[in-house]
Amino acid sequence: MISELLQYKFITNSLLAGILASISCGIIGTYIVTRRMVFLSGGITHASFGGIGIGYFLGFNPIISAAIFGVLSALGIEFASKRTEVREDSVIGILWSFGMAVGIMFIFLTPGYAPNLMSYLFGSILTVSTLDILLLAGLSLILIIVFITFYQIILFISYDQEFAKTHKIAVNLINYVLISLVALTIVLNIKVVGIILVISLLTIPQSTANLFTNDFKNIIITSIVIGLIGAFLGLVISYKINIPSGASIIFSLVIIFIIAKLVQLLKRKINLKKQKI
Amino acid sequence: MSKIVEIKSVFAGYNDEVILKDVSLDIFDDDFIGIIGPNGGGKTTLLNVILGLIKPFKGEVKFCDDLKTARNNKIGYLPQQNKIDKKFPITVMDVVLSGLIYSAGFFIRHSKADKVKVDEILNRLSIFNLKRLPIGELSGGQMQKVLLARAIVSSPRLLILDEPNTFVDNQFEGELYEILNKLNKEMAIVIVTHDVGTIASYVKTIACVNRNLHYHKSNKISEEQLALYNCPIKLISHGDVPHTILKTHKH
Repeated sequence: MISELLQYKFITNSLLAGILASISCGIIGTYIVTRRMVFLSGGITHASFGGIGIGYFLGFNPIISAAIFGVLSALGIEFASKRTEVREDSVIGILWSFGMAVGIMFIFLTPGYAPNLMSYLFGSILTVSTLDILLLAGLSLILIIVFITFYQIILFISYDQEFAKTHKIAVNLINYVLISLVALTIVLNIKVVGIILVISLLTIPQSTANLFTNDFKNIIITSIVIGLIGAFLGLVISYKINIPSGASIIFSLVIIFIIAKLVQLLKRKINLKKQKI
Repeated sequence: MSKIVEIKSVFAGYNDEVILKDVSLDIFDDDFIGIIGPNGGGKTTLLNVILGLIKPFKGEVKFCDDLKTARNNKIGYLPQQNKIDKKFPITVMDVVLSGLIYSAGFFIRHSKADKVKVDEILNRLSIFNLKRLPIGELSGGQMQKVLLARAIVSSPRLLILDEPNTFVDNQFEGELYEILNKLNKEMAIVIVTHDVGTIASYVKTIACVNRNLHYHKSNKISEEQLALYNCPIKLISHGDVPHTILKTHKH
C-alpha cells in the first residue's frame, strides 16, 4: 500500500510537511514550553490570521502576509511587554483578538468566495504546495543551524535572562530574533494543522518528552521523534477514515502523551515496589 | 586595599519613579558589606545599578579597570531564588557553566578548562555529587549553593548576593556565611539581607538603604542609630546586651 501511495505527489508532499513540521515545532516548541511562552504563542498564532485576511484581500499568497503580520505582532508583544506599563498577557489578549478581527474584516471585504479559508483554520496537510514545503524546509534548516550554533547562549538566556544581562550578553537582541523565529514557525505550520491546532504541535510533544527527560537538548530531540510518529499516525488515520489531517495528528499526539504518562506512572510504581515500600 | 567600585551621588529608579536619592558608596576589594533596609527602600535597585541592569537617572558608577575591561565577567551575582524557574530543564553542571557565559563567546562551546573550573567549584562547595541532576530535584539549600557556584565560577572581584538566606534552613544559613567568610579573602562581598541577626557577625560594615544610603563603618549597630539613619528595621537581639542587635564581632 505504501509504495502505491507514494506515487501520489500530494502524499509525498504531506509526508515531507509532516517531517518538517516535527523538526521545526520540536525545536521552537521546546523553547516556548520551557520559557512558559505558550499563551504568547497562541496570541501570535491568532494574530497572524489578520495577515491571512490581508493576503486574500490584496490577492497574494496569504502565508507570506501572515508571516509578516505574525512577526510584527511578535516583535510588538515583546517590545510592549518590556517598555510599557501594560501587562504582557493583556497585550497578548489585545493582539490576539485584533488579528482575528482584521482577518475577518478583510475576508468579508474580498469579493467572492474565499477559497481554502477552512484549510487555514483547520489545516490541510494534503494540500500543501511545493512553495510551502520549500519555506518550511528553509526555516527548519535555519532553526537547526541557530540552535546548534547558539545552543549554550539560548539555554542560558532562557534559564535566567537577568543573569545573562549582568554578563553583558545582548539578551534583548537575541529575544527579538528568537520571537521572530517563533512567529515564522507558527505561520509556516498553519498550513499543516491550522491556526486552531498549531499550538498543540508546539506543546504536546514537548510535554510528553519532558516526562522522561529533564535536559533541554534531549527534549528537543525526543519531541521531534514524537512529532514524527504523531504526524505519520495522523496521516494514516486521516487517509483511512477520511477526516482532516490536522485533527487526526493532534489526536494521535494526545494518545501518545496519555500512553507515555501511563508508562511513567507504572515505572514509578515498580520503582517503589523494588524499594519494598 | 583598593577601590573597585565607586558610586557617586546616584539617583535611580524605574520609569519616572525615583527610588534611590543621592546615593554614594565606595566598594573596596576586601569589603564585606551588609545592605539592610525596609522593603521598597531601594536595596535591589542599588544592586541593579551596580550590576548595570538599570541606568541611573543621574550620578555615575565607576568601576576599576579590571572590572570594566575584563572579557570574563568579574562581578558575580546571586539573584533571589524566587526569580528562578525551578522547572526549567537544565542540569546543575549547565547552570554553573553559565557563570562562564561570556568567556564562551557566541559561537564557541565551553572549553575543557571551563568544565574543569566547574568541577573545582562544585567540589569546593561540596556539591559535586549533584552535577548531573536537573535543578528541579534540588532542595532550597542545594539550589542556593548551585547559584553561588555559578556566581563565583568566573573568580569575580566582587560578589553580589540578593537575600541568599530566604528559602533555606538555619543550618544551611550558617554554612553559607562560613563559605562567604572564606570567599571574602578572595573577593569583595555585598549582601542584601532582611535578617539583621546572624549575618551581622560576618559582615564588616553595614549600609542602610531607605531612599538614601547611610554607611555604617562597623558591624555593630543599635536601634537608635538605625532610627537616626531613617531606617525603620526591627532588630532582634541575639547578644546579651539589649539594643545591640547584632552579635559580637568574630575575629
